Amino acid sequence: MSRPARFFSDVLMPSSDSKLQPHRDAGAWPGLIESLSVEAILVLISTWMGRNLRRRLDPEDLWQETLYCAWRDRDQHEWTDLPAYRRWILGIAKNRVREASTRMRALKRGGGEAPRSLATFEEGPEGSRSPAEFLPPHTVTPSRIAALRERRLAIETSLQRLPGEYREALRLRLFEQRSLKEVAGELGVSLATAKKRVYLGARLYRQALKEVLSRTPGTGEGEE
Amino acid sequence: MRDGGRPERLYDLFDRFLDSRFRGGSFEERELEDLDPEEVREFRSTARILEDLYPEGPGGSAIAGFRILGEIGRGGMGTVYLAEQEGLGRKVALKVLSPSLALSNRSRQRFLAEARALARLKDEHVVSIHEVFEAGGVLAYAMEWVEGKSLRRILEGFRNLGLSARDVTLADLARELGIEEKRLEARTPLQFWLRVGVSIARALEKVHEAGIVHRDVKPGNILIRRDGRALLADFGLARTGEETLSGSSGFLGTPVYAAPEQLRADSREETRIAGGKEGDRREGRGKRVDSRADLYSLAVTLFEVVAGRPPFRGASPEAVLLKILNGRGERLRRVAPHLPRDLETVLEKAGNPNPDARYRTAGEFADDLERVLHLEPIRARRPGILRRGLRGIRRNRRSFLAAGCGALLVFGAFQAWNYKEARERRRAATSAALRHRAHLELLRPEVRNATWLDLSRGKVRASAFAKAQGFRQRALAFYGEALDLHDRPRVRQERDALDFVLHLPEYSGRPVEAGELRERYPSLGAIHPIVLHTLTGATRDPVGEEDPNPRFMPVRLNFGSREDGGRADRLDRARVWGLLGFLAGARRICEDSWKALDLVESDLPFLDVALAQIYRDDGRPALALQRMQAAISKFPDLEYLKLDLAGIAIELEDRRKAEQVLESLGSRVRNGLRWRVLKARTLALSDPGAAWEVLSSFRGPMGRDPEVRYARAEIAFLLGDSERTVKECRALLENEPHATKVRLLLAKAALGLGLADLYLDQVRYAIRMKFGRFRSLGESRDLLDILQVGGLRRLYEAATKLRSRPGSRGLVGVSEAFWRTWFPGATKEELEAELLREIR
Repeated sequence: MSRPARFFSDVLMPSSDSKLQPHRDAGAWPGLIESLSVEAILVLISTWMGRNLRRRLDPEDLWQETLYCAWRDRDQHEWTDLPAYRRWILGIAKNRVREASTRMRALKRGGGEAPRSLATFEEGPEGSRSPAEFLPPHTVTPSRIAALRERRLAIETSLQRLPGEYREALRLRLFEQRSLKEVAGELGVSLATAKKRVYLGARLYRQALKEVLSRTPGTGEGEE
Repeated sequence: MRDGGRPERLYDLFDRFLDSRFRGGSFEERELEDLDPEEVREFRSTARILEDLYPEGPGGSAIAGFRILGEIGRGGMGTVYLAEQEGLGRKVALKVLSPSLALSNRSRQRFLAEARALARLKDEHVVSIHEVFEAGGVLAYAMEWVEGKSLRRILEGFRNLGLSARDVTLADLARELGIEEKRLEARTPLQFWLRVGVSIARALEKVHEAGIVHRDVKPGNILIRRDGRALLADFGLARTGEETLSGSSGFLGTPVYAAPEQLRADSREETRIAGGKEGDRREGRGKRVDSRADLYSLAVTLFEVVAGRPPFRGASPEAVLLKILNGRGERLRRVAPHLPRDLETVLEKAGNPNPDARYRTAGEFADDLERVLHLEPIRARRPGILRRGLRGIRRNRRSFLAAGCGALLVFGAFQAWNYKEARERRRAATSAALRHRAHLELLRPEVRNATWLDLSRGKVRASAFAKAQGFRQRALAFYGEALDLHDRPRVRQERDALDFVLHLPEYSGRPVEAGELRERYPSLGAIHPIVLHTLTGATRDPVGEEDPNPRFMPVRLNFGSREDGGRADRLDRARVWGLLGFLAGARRICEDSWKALDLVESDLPFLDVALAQIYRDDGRPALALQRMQAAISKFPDLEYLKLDLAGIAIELEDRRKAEQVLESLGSRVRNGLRWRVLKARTLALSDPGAAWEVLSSFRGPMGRDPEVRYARAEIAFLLGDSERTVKECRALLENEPHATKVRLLLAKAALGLGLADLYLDQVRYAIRMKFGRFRSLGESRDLLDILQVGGLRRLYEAATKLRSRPGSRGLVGVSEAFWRTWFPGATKEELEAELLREIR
């Protein structure tokens, strides 16, 4: 998909190490998003949502909202490297979860509107533009969403089999890609303990995932 | 999995492996050679978790003899990887150009030819290119791997710390670079930057002589190595101007740093090396952009580095572009008046929008930069009135000579005086900035916690204490630099007070003669014996202490009578003693001294912060709010103060204020636990149920955080769930037995559940507290309230009467014997039984 030349706003942004801002390029964007590990992000979104919100919304819905916001606000982010961009995306995702929680509580108290999945936007009032129109391709196909959901559930099931302390360490280190120091700080343990939990958590997770996938038809996972 | 053996080694390797994937750290396959085969199998199996989650990463793949270790960065032209050259085992930065650039065959040949020319160039200030190759349809080149940072990252680091270009010190620079200060080989940051400018200009000289134009000189492409050396990197090699590369025009590069002629360049323009060798012209079509464009870019880069921002700013990208094209950048000394005029002249010449008005070569530019560095006369001349005037004088020499001589003498003397005044002003301004830096170090939350909060609990972890000491040392260094530039009595007092506090452990266990201190720290004047005793009497290392220390003893300080000196002297003593108390965490000293100065003294930077904390502990949030707002106006960058302000607003039940403050905070703070807890507590003011839901969602270590626990306990109590309140309070008191607020809440909840024994425990605590060891008036109020809520009216009234006596401090000074006057002759058990009857 090509987009109109936006020479000034695309190119005239100071303080840039890269010659272009790849997250603003519609052609490069889908590949960029894929490289963030969408499954891992979905698992994080699911964790942040909590049980109550998950009854009303799927993490995939909030992921779509996240993508929409990330594309809409792409000019607000100055590219430095991929990890920084991922952190920015995760920040957006967290805000989406927070907003969805607020909307749900407002609904419970008798005010506000129910959180709506992005899919429902396409049936919005006449004249309104669907947010899906603003998304680059590759991110909204139903089959893609279904595949992501399946994969996310497998990962979550595997994670649930881990003891809480290992699960938490793994989530922070591997899924949120935090540094070891941040993980240790968050867990309130020493670096050595954090390291151990991450490693053992990874081992247990892999074993659990193998078992889960071996029972799930059509996942196509090979043996080690 | 193996037990025993070396499991820690596996954990360590795995951690580094993850860092190599996520953060560009180093991990080499050969590190597995130390493991035995089973461990290697285990490691590889575990490492496949990354393939599960990040299936398209480059880790483990190789390109043409280079094994990819991790991704460093990604740009529009391609991706840069950290790789290891197989066979040689050396690390390289591998730039792989994007296949999507779709270079034409001719472009690819030119790229390879130019890249090889650059690879032949060997200069200590140019990042070497080891190899250029084509593999599998992509073009790539392997560069020298430089351990260091780009100027871009360094500048961003300073911005993140809230440092302007003027505030940056050599210590900051060395820290940002991760090297020792002496390696900078400069006495000031400006000297260092000038050296960098000279190095890069010399590098450009060599590059231009080799027939190459960089075309993308900017902070991101200038690297500073760990040994302090500057290198020019990342040449814009894909610079053919083909439309397939740019997609729109022939322009490549980062616009703010690009010369106007680059922005205007025709898409089919070719380059010529100006001032270089004849015969280097290529294809002879158009000669618009030449090596002088690099000088322009370097000038803009240096401008940003020394002034803190580029010379072009505008409300929109279009406005910025117009300014660049019209050469309407800001003058250096308008942005940064403290910088030398000569530097402004040199950068204006190199950055002139007209290429013919710039230096002819990079070598000339480097020469003039060196002259600025060594305070020698520069070759570049300032344009404008003076130049025109001098031309006129040259034409009429005789008549101007006589008049001119006298005028010059007067003018010279005036300039010398003016220069001296300006220099003094600059020094004073820099000194003030350094003093402010010292304040910021001392107001770091780590220092505050280790001094005021953790100390009040009687325990400071060794690591926290060491960290706080480190920040105090930094502050001391800033004070030293400030005094070197401009010696002011107040600054000297602050420095000496800090130095004394840092050396307190030396005085541990021995009496200190006031004369000894006066000799060592004359600026502190006479220090009251109580102050000395309070500070030095508790000089045991606070790590590991369980009991509150004597720093919280009540004192009555006498700042001196009229005979001891005038009001100014008394105020000075109060200022100094309070400062000592603040820095050492001797709360009472600080409180007594600075409350006396409240509303009188204005030049006490820490006063507002200290009094805000003191009033808050006293349970006087309205006063605390005023003080905290004043503190924030002095230190607007200390976001944790705003969190405190929000907390105070919540105590005042001012929901609007609390929300306003919380929403004003940046995203970094908003992601923190404290912000979220305060947000929940704000919500609790209107909807405790919703707040409870939010806090209940905190799991794991977050859920066990004391602030979260206390907030949950409070809200549970509001919702009538006393059982939950009891549970949370008990958990809190396990680590914080002296937390009187928690005990009060527990007492209320216990009464609500009819748990008389549990309530009595809190009463017992209130009675048995060692009077005179209260940390604050607020604490004594909490203990009184414990009695009051249980209906122990007689005890409460008696205590209240005592408290209202002039000079009393609540239950302070009331000994246990007093309580027995209510039940004369009673044993401890009888006393307790009597209290139980009172309650029931």
